This record gives sequence, C-alpha cells and structure tokens, in this order.
Amino acid sequence: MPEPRYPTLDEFWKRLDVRRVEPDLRDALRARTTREAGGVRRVGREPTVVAVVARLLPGTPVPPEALAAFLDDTFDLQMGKGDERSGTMPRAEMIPAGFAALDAAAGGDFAALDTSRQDDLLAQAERKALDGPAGFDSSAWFNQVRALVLLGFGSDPRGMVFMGFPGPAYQPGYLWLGTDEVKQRTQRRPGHTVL
Amino acid sequence: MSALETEFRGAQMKRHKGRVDACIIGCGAAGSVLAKELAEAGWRVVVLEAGPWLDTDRDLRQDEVEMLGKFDWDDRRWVDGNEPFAQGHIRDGRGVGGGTLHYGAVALRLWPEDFERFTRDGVGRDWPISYDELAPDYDRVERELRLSGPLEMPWGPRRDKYPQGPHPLTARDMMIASGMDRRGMAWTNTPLGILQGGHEGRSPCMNYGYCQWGCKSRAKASMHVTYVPKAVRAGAEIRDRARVTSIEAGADGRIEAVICQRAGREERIEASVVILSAFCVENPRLLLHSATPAFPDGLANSSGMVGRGIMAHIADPMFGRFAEPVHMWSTSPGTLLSQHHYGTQAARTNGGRNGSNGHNGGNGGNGGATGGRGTPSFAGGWSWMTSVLFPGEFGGALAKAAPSLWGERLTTLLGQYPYFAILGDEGECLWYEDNRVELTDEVDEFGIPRPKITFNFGENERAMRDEIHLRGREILAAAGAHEILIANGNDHTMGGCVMGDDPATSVVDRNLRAHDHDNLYICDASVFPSSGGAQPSQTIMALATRLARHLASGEAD
Repeated sequence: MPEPRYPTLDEFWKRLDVRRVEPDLRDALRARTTREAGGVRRVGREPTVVAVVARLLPGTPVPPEALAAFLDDTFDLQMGKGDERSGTMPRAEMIPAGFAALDAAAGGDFAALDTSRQDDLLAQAERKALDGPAGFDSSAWFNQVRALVLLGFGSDPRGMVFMGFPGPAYQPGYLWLGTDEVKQRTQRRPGHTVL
Repeated sequence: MSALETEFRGAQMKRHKGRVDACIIGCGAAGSVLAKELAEAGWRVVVLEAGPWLDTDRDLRQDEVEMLGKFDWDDRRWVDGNEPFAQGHIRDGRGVGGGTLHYGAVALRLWPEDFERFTRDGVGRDWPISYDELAPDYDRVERELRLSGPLEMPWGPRRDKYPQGPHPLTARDMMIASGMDRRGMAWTNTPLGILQGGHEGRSPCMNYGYCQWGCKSRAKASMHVTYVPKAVRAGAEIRDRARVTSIEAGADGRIEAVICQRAGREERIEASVVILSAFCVENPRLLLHSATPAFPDGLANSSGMVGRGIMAHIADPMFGRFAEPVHMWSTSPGTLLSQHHYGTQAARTNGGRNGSNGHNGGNGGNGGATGGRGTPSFAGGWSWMTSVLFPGEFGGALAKAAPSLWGERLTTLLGQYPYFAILGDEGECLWYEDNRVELTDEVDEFGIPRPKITFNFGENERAMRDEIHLRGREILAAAGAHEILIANGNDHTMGGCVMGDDPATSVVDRNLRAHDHDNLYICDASVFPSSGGAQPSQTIMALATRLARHLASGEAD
C-alpha cells in the first residue's frame, strides 16, 4: 500500500472554510499557530522550559517555543482536570517548582547542558529522583508537563497536520467510514487528498 | 440558537414560588429523568444544577481545548490510594445534562448476575433489587431515547429489539473485529444512545466523532436535548448555576429545605421530597457537610456508610498500531462491542497465564463462579469496545502506555496516529468499604470542605487487569497490530451512598429512600452496590425511572 498523503497546513485552513467551522473556533485554531518566543513569563525561565519541551517532543513542526508558551498559558488552569494527589503540592505550584529544580540540578541553567545531560536529568525526574521543595514529586511533575505539552501539540493545527488529523468535522461529517473507504480516501490521487 | 434547547429557558419555563413537591439536586442522567417523569405526573418540581445550561449551537465546539472544563466538574479534589482516580473531564459532568454532556452514549444494561455479586461469588455486595425488577424501567428508557442497537444481542438477558438499527462499523472496528473473530469471540454493534434517524426534532448521527466533547448534531441522547426539554414542557423548573451548599434537616429527621447559592444570592427551597442526584463525590460531600447536632456524623449516615464503597471501572486503553490507516476519529467512540468476557467465568482458574485461552464456549458470562471448572481467580468480568482519542488526549494517554515514552520515539508514534486503533475495556471493580470520600479541612469558595477520595484496587481488580491485558494483546495481535501499547486507567464513578435493606450497612433502601430521613432520596450511580462491567448511564436512568414511578404512585406516602 502506498504511503498515504495527508493534507498540508494550507489545505487544513481551506477545509475549515468549506466546513463552516464557527468563526471563533477558526480564530482560536489560528491563534494557536502564532505562539512564539517570549511567551514564557510565569512557569519558569524560558530557556529552561523551551529546552525541556524540545527534549520531550523533538523534531516536530510545532516550535518548542510555541509549546512552552502553551504550557505557560495553561499550567495553572483547571482545564477539565480536578484531581490533586494527596500529600503533594498542587499542580499549579508543582510545575514551576519542577523547572526550578531542574535548573538547580543543572547548576543554574538546564538549557546550557548538552542534550544527553538534559535527557539524564529528565529521566531522573521521571524516576521520581529529582529533588525539590517539600511536597514536590518529580515523577508527577514530569507526567504533568508531558501531558500539557502533548495537549498543546495535538491542539495546534500544525500538530494536527503532523498527526494526519483533519481537524473538526462539520456537515456532512466523516462519511467515509469503512476500511476500503479509508484506503480510497488516502490514495485518491497525489496532491489531492480529501479527508 | 436552537428552539429545542432554549425556548424553555425564557418565559416558557414555569417559575415555582414557595414550597414545591420535589427539589432535585443535580440535572444529569438521574435528575433529568426524575424531573421529566415527576413533572409529567403533575408534581411541582425544581431542579438545582451547579453548572450552566449550555446551548449546542452557541456553546459547543468540536475542539478539545475549547471544551476542556466547560462541562466538567474540575474543582480541586484530593485523591489518594494505589490507583490514581482522575477527576474532571469524563468523570463528573457539570451543567444541565450532567455527565451525559460528555458521555459516549454506550447504552448497556447490567446483567442479572451483577445484582447478585455476593451471593454468586462471595465477594462485593448484592443489590436489594433484582434485574427483573429494573427491567421494565430499562425498557422505558430505551424507548424514550430511541436507542440504536443490533438486531439481536449475543449476550446478556433476553430483550426486545432496539428501537433503531445499529450504527455502522468503521475501519477501526472491522480491524479489531477481525482479531476477535480469530480468537473465537462474538462481537456486535454497540447499543448507543445516538440516533440513527431523526427523532423529535433531533438530527441523526453525523459521525462527527466528538461525542465526548459535546454532540453538535444533537443525535446523542444528552439529557439537555432529550429529557430536559420534556421536563420543562411538563412544568419543571431548572435552575442552572445553582450551587447547593447544604441540606437542612429537622431534629425529627425530616428534610426541611435545600440551600443554594445562585448569582451571588442564597436561595432556600422547601420541598416535600428532596432527591439528591449530584453524583458519587458530591452526594457524600453534601451529606457529610450538612451535619447537625441531631445528625453529627452527617445526614443519612447513621450506618457510617456515607462516602464508602466508591467504585470505578478498570479502563485500560490498548493501542494497536496497524499497517494501514484506520482513522479512529471517524465516528462515535464505542461502536464495536464484545461482552465475551463479561461476568464471572469458571474457566479463569489461573488467570490465563499458562496459555489456556480462558474461553468458556463461545459467549462470555456464564453466570456462576463454579460449575465444575474450578474456582475462578477473580470475580466479575468486562466489556470490550473500540474507543477514540483525539490528538490532544491521544499523546498524553499513549505516553502512559510505556516507560520513558518521550523524545524521538514519542514524536514518531504521534506521526502514526492514523494507524492506531484503540481497544477499550470496562472491567468490574468490587465494592470495598475503605474506598471512600471524606471531607478535608480545605474549603472551596462556597465554604464547603473539599473532598478527598481514597481509591485502591484489591486482588480481584489486579488479577482482572492482568487478564484483560493478556486477552487484549491476543485480540490486537490476531487483528494484525504491529505494535501494542497498554496504559493503565480507570473511568466512571459509582458508589458512595450504597443501597440495601439493612439500615446498619446501607444509606438508602430498595426504593432509594434514606434510612434516616423519610423525605430524602438519593438517585444516581452513588447507590450502586456493584459496578458490573458496563457503562453505568442506562442503569442510572432506569433507577431514576423506577424511583419516579414509585413516588408518583403514592406508595412512598
């Protein structure tokens, strides 16, 4: 089976018009692609946050600076998540504490380390072995940060396109359903894939 | 805005002043059904809902980030125990419609054996009512919602044909069904509370796929487009953004009033009957918080059982990566079903870990722990169904499925999203007294102590999880998956106000009346004594239908 071809970002935007997506959602989707450097103000030092994102999810079309800005925007919002682990600090305090702990473990500047040393420290955090203030759990921190980075990535149209996802469905919906139909859709003809 | 949902919110909705017949706390799967059925029986009904009354056109968007928190109960709750008990999205709903705003509308009944878990298996608890007592109410709900489903269910109790035909299977379903075929398992189209044809002004399903983020076509039987309009038409008043802060009880045990905060003002609602349908965490929280000198341990709590017996379902997503794209997002989440492994099965003598295939002759659920084939290694069973995760949640869920899944490997897997199908499971968790909701010293903005939920899996759940993983790998491998990743998880919430005949060991009786209060009823999944291995929404609605029937008949007087 030939490799299927999924839409480009330009095609993604065109489809949103065709599908009559609500203007406010279209605007929100576009706004997610405009996050850039300078967007980290609260959660930690921007070079540290960007470096962490770049190691967690390298080599994607969504710049780490954009995902770092998403993290900064959302780390202290509930975002549909209500649980906090008893005996640990609340998420809104934990996430900044973790970036500070990484910098401390790196001798002041996590971003200045080479990438293999950065990976070592992140693996240490994942193993719950990174020290921090009372109530800090580095494994919980790692999972929280990774989940937010992935939410930011999967909700950014550049990330959606990377993942082959066509964006929100509106009338008439995803009407091609079966295995053969999926094949037909992805093999339709080069340069013109409609999902 | 749609007339269907909003014509009732303005002048057309009745406003009740003074004492009413029933005050219902919570407008979800139970409260909405109760409101409609009681109002149609002529009762003066007020429903208090903590969340907003959303409008499908104006408020719902097919986007994960836009919808996060819009109808989730995502206030801070502390959790403890060996099994992380996530709170928020896809747990408790908040808004007119409650959890049905986000549910996938999988419309399964419990099986008769689920009502007799202790009698059959010697573990967990029995229900004080039988399946047969609830069956007419399941029937009524299924007709009301015009469920879609297969011509014949291969498993479970005998039942009439579903009102509408089945939803089509998609690429992901057919791929996984092929694996089930090769494993000798029966499968079928899942019964869904999602229209296949138009009904009462609602659209048939448009395969948008975003059911769990709010259905834009109104095909999904969310309460805000089904029971709630009928409740209002029949004279019920729905007060949204009304946060109940306490329930007042007299020294004689009669409930005198419900106190709520609405638009910055306190309201006091007097009612002949108060029905608590605020779900499994908020029900105990309110009862415990409403303690009085006459009821120092909280209302309805002479047994000490309020808050105890919280349950969930084992729900471990199994990611199968295939050679061909399957586009998991292309329709509602759970369109393929197998209950081959439902219920206690005697063949599970060793958890399947010695190569035995664990099947017991075709269909699952043999309704007994014994039967001459040895003692099973765990009681209960589970349902299989396909599932959907949209891109934002997909990565986070996938990352939990393998140690150290980050970096280039994670990037690579995200790029293969169209090739992934998810096999979901809903495994029974037993009722344990120590899995519970308690109050903490920290209060929220309404002065109500925040809850702490302690939740542990026992041996039964751990053994079942092992077996689910084993069988899931077999199915996905037989379907041709190149790579299989499994994450641990749990979903749904049940228990916390258990029903039973003995006032010393239960909170409400067989008619859902609190043992300690003549005019207080509790109705939702919090009263479940067992969880079964299936989504709870149909059982909640059936219980609410049964309670409404009981109250309207005057038998409770």
